[in-house]
Amino acid sequence: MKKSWLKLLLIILIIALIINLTIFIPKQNQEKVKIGVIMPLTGFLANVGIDTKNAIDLSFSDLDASKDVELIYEDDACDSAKALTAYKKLVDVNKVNFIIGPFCGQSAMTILSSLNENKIITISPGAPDNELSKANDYFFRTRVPNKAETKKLIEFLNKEKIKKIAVYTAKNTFGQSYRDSLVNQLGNETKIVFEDGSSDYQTDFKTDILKIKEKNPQAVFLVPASRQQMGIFVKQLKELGFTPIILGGSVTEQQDLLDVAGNASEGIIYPYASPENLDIVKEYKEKYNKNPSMEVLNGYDAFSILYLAIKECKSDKECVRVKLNNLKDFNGTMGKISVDEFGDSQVELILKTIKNDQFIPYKD
Amino acid sequence: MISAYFIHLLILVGIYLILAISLQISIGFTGMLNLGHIAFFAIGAYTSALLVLNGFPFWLALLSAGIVAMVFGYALSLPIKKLKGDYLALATMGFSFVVYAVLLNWTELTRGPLGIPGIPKPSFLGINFSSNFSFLILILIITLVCYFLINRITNSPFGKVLESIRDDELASKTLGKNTSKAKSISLMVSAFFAGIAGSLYAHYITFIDPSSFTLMQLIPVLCIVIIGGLASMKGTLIATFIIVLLPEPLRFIGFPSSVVGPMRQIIYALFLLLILLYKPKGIYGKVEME
Amino acid sequence: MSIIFQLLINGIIAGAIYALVASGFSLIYNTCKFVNFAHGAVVAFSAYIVYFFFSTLNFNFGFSVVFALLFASILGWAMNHFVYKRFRDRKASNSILLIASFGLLILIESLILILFGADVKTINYIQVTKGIEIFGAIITPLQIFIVVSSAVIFLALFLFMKKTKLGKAMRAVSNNKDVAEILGINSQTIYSWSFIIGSFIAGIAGILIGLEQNLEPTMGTNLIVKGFTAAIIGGVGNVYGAILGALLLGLAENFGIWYLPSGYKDAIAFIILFIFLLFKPKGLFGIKREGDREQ
Repeated sequence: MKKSWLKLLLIILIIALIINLTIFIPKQNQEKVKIGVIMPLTGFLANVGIDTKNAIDLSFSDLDASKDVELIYEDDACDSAKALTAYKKLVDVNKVNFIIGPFCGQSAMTILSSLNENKIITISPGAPDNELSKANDYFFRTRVPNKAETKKLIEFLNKEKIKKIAVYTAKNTFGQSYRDSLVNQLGNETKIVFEDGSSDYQTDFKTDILKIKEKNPQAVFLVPASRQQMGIFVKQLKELGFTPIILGGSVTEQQDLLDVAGNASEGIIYPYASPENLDIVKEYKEKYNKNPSMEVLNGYDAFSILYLAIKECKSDKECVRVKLNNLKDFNGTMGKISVDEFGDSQVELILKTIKNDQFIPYKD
Repeated sequence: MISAYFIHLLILVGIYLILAISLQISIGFTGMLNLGHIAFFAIGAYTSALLVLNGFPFWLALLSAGIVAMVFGYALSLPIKKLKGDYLALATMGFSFVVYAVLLNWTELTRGPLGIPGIPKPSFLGINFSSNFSFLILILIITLVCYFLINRITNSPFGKVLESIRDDELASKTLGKNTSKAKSISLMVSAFFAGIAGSLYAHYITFIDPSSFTLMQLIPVLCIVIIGGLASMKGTLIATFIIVLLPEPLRFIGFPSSVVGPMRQIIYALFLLLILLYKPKGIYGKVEME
Repeated sequence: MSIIFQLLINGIIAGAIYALVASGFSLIYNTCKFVNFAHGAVVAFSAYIVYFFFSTLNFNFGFSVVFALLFASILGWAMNHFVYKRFRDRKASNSILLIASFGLLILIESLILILFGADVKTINYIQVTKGIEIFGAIITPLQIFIVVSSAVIFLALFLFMKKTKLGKAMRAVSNNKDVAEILGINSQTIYSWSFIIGSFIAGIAGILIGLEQNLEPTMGTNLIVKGFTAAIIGGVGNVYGAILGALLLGLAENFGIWYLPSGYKDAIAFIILFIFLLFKPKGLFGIKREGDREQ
């Protein structure tokens, strides 16, 4: 007797859930253009995802966009299945025509074919995969492609006549795409004497450092799996008394690195855009109590660029696409942004370094 | 017209259902707490993806996914024959870590962390299953077939042997049953269907990389098996719907997005704990976990 | 030569860190007879308590440590009293307790995530400097302290189990609960004490690991996986075996990584676990006890 009641209750529960999903959909506000945002708000890169979300919100309020545009956030936790679910929900239920994100490489690669099918304009502030350049007509990035960063570093290597370099790049899409860029562009003057990388949750690098030390490189190209890893690695380098020149990617410029590594981070050299708009940096710092890193500012720019196009084109996807493709010298947070033929953003880069706990331009 | 979002959720339900009922064979029917099940899922996914991208037809890739996973199931069953309970759990968990490490580091085969992109949607008997709806039909058919097959297996005399192993292995041995062989076959069958689920996953998501196949991804499946009830196919079916669909309404409620994720985890965890505590047989289960 | 010595030191430090986690875990496992994944959450929790009092509220470091140890012990006791005890009252098997402990681990880590956010947190109590050089290998003062701590805990547990009444009672319950009860030992009290002491040690682990490797919400999960691996390698039935197992694990990982790509580090741990489960399921120093699960 009891069992059949339980059964009935369950069936009702399931039907309720199903009804919930198909009918209980928030009322569609027809006037505002909807932009979906897919970010890792939980999981491994949650700290970056939340910071980027804050930057997007900041741009939203700076540009007073609430009268034209509505932002709808979904979490993908850098997981392929969750990213696809978030995408489907945004496109099908919320009927967005535009998406900012995803941040993670694997999420971007996952929704790529669906994007193409639905012709959804997407700007990602973060996805690093080299294969995303010119992946399709609808995918754009405000993130400077890795090859531009590694190009700058290689200029440095050639100038300083560095013959031996070790490459330590995380075993994820982020690290590997940097590694591939560097390896493809490296000339014959510099030789890679050691190559390996960290795993996502690794916290002990002492033996890796020992292996690197044994090969005696003059410089180490370091791309960590997460913000905290870079700091720990550099700290352990110092503790083990090994002091090669450390070259990093643009993610090097973060407060977290200084917090974790302290003075061990002195002297790291990395490419960065020369921020034109220091007001935004200040504003972000005041509101959220930390300095925004470049990836975060990319989020700010992603919204700004998209909003600019939407203001003129409203929901017309083709119009927005053309506008984005033709974007030249837009005043972004990181300098003048131009979108190249691959849908990537081109920004002028300089070399910076860390001195006395400050991030300053690098001078010989 | 059913919404594309809902079709997507149903497809996920299908894939998770096959994964869950395959795990039921190990945990529910045979009493082996296989915490490494996700590795078979991964092996199926990678096998299928690599075969199709190298020109093999989908149906062959699908079957191969199951078969290759089955071989690994056999390989795993050999060393763990003598283990029980938590030792078995830890050993199988270890297996999944090893598989993960290989997928991540054997870049020549798997492209490592960069994953395998561009996996095509299935093409079968001349039909291209690229639209959402057609894929849903394909999943529906395959899921029904798997459900039917597993149901037959578990209701067969062999299934009874498995249950006897779960309830009292020593007694079963005394009665002359070759329990080692039965456990091996159980793990192989379980792995086969997990491999099938993996293939379907790869061809639906179109991109796979090692990070989709860790212990964390197994937790929802484990919850389904326990909440649905051990050794209960019907329970697993209902639990799959609940676990896959339950978090979705949370999107619409309007929690701050950074809280939704951890909230979802907390709800899973609480649900799991409460069921284990107050209804350890799950919704429909006949037995408790030994 | 100095390379081998440095590898040795690296291995010992890693082993000491694992030992800090494994010893508390093993204590609980031996008396209560189930895998308590939530132990990792206690480690993470105590690290965050220190952070909260020292870095956020600017309390004295010493006080923060005391609070962390106190709260860790209370958390451990509470997990047993409010959750595990209920399961035991219903005669749950240890597989169910294992899964329940998983649930608790996720629960506590999610709470930490909500309360503290996903950013990495640092306890800036110690300056970053080059380590001390000993025979060509380098080690920092904190790392020396970690190694010494695990040695002290080893010794303390050894003496505790052998000499004190409570320790002997724990061993009795661990060896044969029914006989112990007949002899008048209250197993419920013993379970409580196991959790309190085990979690206290977890507290020490959290503080030291937090100082050495910084904090993030999922730090507990990774540590407990290594922790139980070490405990099983070292052997069930005695706690100090877990510490030795941890040492072995740390050494194997570091020497192994010298030859293999770094990505295989975790795999090494599990391959070793596998080998032990197959050939020496009682571990290196395991004691046979009644109701062994292997046969």
